Amino acid sequence: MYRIMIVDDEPNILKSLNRVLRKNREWDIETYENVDHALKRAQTMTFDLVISDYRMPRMDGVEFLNEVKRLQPEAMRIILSGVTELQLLLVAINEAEIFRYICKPWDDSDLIMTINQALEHRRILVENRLLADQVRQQQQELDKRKSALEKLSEQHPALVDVDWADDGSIIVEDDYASA
Amino acid sequence: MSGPEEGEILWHTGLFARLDSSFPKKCSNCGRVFATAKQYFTETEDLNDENRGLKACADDDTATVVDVFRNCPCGSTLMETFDDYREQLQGETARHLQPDLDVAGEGTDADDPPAGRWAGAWHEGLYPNGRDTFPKECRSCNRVFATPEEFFSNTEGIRADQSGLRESEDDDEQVIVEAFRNCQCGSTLMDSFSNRRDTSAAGQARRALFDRMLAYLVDNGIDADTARQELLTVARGGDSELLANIRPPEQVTDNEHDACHDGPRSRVLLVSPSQPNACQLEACLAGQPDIDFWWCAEADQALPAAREFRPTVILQDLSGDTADGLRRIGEFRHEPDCREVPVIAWLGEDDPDVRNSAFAAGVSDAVADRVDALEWLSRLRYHSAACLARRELDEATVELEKARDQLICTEKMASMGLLAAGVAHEINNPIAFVTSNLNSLDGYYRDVFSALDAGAENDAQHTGGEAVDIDSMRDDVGQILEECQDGMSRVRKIVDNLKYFSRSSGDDWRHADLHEELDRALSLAHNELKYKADVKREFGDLPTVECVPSELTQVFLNLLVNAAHAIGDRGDITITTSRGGAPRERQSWHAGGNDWVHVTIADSGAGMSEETRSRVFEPFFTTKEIGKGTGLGLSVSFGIIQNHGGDISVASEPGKGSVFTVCLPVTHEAG
Repeated sequence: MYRIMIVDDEPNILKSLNRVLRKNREWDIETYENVDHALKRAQTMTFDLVISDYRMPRMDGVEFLNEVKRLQPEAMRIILSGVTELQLLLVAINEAEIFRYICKPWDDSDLIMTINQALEHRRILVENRLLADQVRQQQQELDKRKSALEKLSEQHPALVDVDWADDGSIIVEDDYASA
Repeated sequence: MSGPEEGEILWHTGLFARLDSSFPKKCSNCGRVFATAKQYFTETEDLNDENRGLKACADDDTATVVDVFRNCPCGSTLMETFDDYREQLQGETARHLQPDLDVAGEGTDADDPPAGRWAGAWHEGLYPNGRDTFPKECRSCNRVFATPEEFFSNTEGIRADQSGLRESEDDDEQVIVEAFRNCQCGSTLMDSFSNRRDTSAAGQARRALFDRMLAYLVDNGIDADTARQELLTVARGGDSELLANIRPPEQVTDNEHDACHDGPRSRVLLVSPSQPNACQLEACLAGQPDIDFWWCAEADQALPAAREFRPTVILQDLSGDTADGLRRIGEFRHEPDCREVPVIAWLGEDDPDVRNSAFAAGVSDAVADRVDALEWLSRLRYHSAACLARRELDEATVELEKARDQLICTEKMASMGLLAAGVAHEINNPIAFVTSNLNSLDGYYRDVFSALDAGAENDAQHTGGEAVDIDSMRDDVGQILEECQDGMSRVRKIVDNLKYFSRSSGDDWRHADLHEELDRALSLAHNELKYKADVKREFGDLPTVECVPSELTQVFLNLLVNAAHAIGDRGDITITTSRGGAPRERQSWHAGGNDWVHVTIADSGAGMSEETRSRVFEPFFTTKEIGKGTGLGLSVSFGIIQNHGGDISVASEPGKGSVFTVCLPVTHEAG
């Protein structure tokens, strides 16, 4: 199950997006007309993908996604807007590090495909991070054991440095023997 | 060239029938018919030998006419009047038209030697000075030279090294060339020739005369080549049956007259049934190159004549039927074409009643019967000059208005350009959700119909299985349709507003509701405003205002967009409308009252410094960054409000915002 947040100040846009996306039972869609409500929600719930309009009252799409990035760096970010100014596009890509910029009017199947890609990307990212965590954890375990062993060998070198004879017997040095 | 019957044919060349109906002419005695002028002249006999029955007399205009009295073979005497162009055609053009023809490549006719030998020869351009020169006979050996070409090619220069030419000027300053040539018998022959290399003004004028005659003939349906040949024949002193019945263009002399006088011309139209009056006036105006005179004798032709002639002053004769004349003056005053043309009443007796009623009817001046020429000229020129000056002023005003309209249009287009991105966004939103909704609808439709099909096939078997959720779908379809309709009506509204606003001209003065214009401006600027400001509309109760509505929309749009740009993050824009008195500056001469409308647009933006505030209405002054403003918006708005007789003013304080106030009179005349 993926959680997707959509923010647009135009309720009709939200309704039509909802119609298109709710067909996919894997997706849990939440729509917000109000940027502030959306941010509040983002503080208490993680999202896999956030789709935002650019032109909105109080806060534009880039500012909003920047805020989302600060709260949830792993959430994928997409801008869906009717604004086609190159300047805005550059800002969106460079500052908010968005995954895609989709123009209104959108094509439903393209949109679904893009969302799938974003979620896949996000899945791989999360998996990567999980795997990396796992590796790190195991490494820590390994390191812990290694240091315990080193400590033991310092205190009782004979316990660690044992000379094994070819036949499996232990070779004991003279000073130990004499002691 | 000249044949043996030279004198017989030539004396009447250049006489043209005065009327189209003159020929064919019938002898009333014997019934003999003369189809053409030529036939008439050749088949009748001279009345007496001395002047061939011609009697020249001056006609009422300056053209000379000739009365011709001829004896029909039956003995009866016939008379006909002809226009006399003999001098022009035979005297001047005979000598000078031919060069033009040669320039145009028409130099050779059947009698000429081959062009190759003639063209570029040393004697090219030399033409006999008189009609009688050729054929020429050597007095010594009686050899005959039929044409100049023959003369030059069959004689030798008096000395081997030169052609025997000597240039000199004749008495009328025409450059002529005397040729001294030796006949083959050894005797020296002399003849003078006109030099067609002549480029003097007189030569050019004659060339122009020829061109005009040629154009006239072509206009009258005569083939250009034929016309040229016929003119050539006439120019060389021959006779042309074709031209015998064709009147030369009447404007020939007038056009030359026009060309030499550049000043503005007075055009006097006299409306009078009295011929003596017309003659009297014409006599006064004769010889004044700057005055054109047109006499209209038929009262009911006065208006058409005025439309055609475009007079600068109309002279209405009131000496005869005064009531009719006064009625005519009224007509002139109501005719759009000559409403501005001054009318002078020409009173018979200086009757104060007639004089008063003439002025009441709208004449500019009135003169009594006995007026001398100088006074006529002075009055006519004075009123003409006034009329011409007014026309010039009207033209300048039209130009100025055109320039103003262009400026407004330019600014409008510029602000449209600035709004374009926002408007595109505004349109893209509805298009986006409508398109997407239609897709969803398409999906529903497929689901429903496949369910129906399945239902029909399997009947009751699978009803409980994977049924489509018809109920939720029904609700959603209703919603979708509603949203689509809403979206499309939004698009239509935006496009309507754009169309209304961009209409460059054709919007005229009418009474309009300013609130509608404000709403239009708000809707156009919606996309600029909604992310920047909360717009408060404090609309009062306004009467309709006489205005050019699209121009006011432009002003309001400018003010709203400026207000939005002045707001940094987010603020308020308050639009207040009210009814009230004249703005303070105007109260001195416009006594308060309730016939003004006030519109204020206040923003909570950055405000302006005093220096900026004092310059906001200057053209090209802008504080916006490049690409955000043209610097024309407020200056054009200022112009528009001025044109409406209103006032636009601004109050501002840095950091607190600006308040623009537009005051408009309810009726345009009040301003």
